[in-house]
Amino acid sequence: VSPEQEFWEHVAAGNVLFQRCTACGVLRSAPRAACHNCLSREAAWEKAPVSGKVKSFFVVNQAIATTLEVPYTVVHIDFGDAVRLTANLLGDGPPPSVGMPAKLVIGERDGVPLPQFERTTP
Amino acid sequence: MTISAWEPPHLNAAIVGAAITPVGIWPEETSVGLAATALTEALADSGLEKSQLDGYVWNLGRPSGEDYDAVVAALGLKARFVAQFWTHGRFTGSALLTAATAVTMGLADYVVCLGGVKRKTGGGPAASAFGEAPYGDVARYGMTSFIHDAAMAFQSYLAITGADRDRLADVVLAARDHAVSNELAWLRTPLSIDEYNASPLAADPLRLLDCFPFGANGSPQNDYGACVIVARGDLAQQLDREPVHIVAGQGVQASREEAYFGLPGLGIFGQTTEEFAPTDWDLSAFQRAGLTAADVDIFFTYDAFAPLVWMALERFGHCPPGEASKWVTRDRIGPGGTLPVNTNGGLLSQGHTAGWGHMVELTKQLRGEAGGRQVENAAVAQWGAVFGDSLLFTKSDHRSDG
Repeated sequence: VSPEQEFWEHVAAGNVLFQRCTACGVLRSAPRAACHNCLSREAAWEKAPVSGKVKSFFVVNQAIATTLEVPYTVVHIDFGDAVRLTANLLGDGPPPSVGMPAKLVIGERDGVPLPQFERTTP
Repeated sequence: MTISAWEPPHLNAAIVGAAITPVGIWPEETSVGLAATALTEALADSGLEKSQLDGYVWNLGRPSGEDYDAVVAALGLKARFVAQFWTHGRFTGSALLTAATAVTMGLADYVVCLGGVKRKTGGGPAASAFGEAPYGDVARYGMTSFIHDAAMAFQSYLAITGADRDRLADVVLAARDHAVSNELAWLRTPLSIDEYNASPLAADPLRLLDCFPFGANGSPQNDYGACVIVARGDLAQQLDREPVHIVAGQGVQASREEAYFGLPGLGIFGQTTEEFAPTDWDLSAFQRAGLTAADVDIFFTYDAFAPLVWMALERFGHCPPGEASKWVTRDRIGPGGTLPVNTNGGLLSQGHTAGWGHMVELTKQLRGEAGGRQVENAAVAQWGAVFGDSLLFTKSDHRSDG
């Protein structure tokens, strides 16, 4: 299976896991077949960080080639050390802002589980 | 034996003919038909015969138009040097630079950059959640178009620079101010600030009017044909038309830091650049040409999204890093400004020509044939895109390399 397939198998089992290169130790968020730092093909899966901050976001008010209901928000979350994940921000609340804390959760779409983010209540 | 420092050879190339069809939606047209019209006009413009062309370079093959082999066969061309880039506006500058390099190296005498773009409806988002596409569409989260990548990058830019988002209006209004007098532009109706402010925030922080005119699938919806003929310098001098010299260039840059629809650092895959400043790579064409940003009379850039104009001006040192929102005004980059930008109207108003409309326009400007849009005493033009590619053009009597 490809690293991306494996990622989704873990999500289906209720876990968001990232790859850590076993040769140089770099953690990567997008599942890939090799380490971008040292090119090693060896990696181990570990639990993704839960807490991050909004690095950027946008709000879609006009749907383009999607069945998602507008408006919806896409956030790019920074976990630190350039480890990032892009997903939707779920739930009601004020518009997000850059720097706002968010937490990783497993949501679902069309019955398929997928990583999503929620606002962190203080 | 002494080893002397290596010096890059100078380009020896010039644009000798250029043409673009009117931009719009032409249901009766085919991509080959549009290319034929553009080729005919560019040949007439140059004074060359079709049989003299012996090279072909293009970037917009399928699905935007036809691939090189189909165009060459359909239009009866014969080429001893061909190159085709990935179908994207990102490679317009690189295509023209490749043509210039080919004639400089003697791989061909006259290279034609030629094609017709016939936009098709349909086409869907990529299925990946991790963006196998280099600019990282994340379809299952509703990040289905490069418009969304541009919106994400722009939000990040605003946060890093503290720029006032509303200042972006000046970029859009200036583009339209230019297009109003370009009969080849698609959107020529004068635009007011009120109309701009009423434009929907389609992908907040981007308004609809901040984007090239796109269709329901998020792709460009306009058709056109374009042709730019590049000749070796000495051959160009033998033609009746005044050649436009391509004096230096540099290619698109690529790394994990490149964001594709923003400056380095503004993408969505773990970029670490927090503060952008032009690098030696960004300024290498200037260095080779012996020119600086201050020498540029007209600036052309890939403006599928208005923020890319701010970012490109910063990338090539036309204004200090992070300051473009304050530096750019409608007057400064509009008609009669001190640095007119995209005098054809850009992708924003001429329509999405991937930059070929810009190349045709800069040819007219440096020949002094831009009519009501003519920039007075225009001698140096730059194509410089947010992707890092840059080409420098000079009018005939302004050749810097002697």
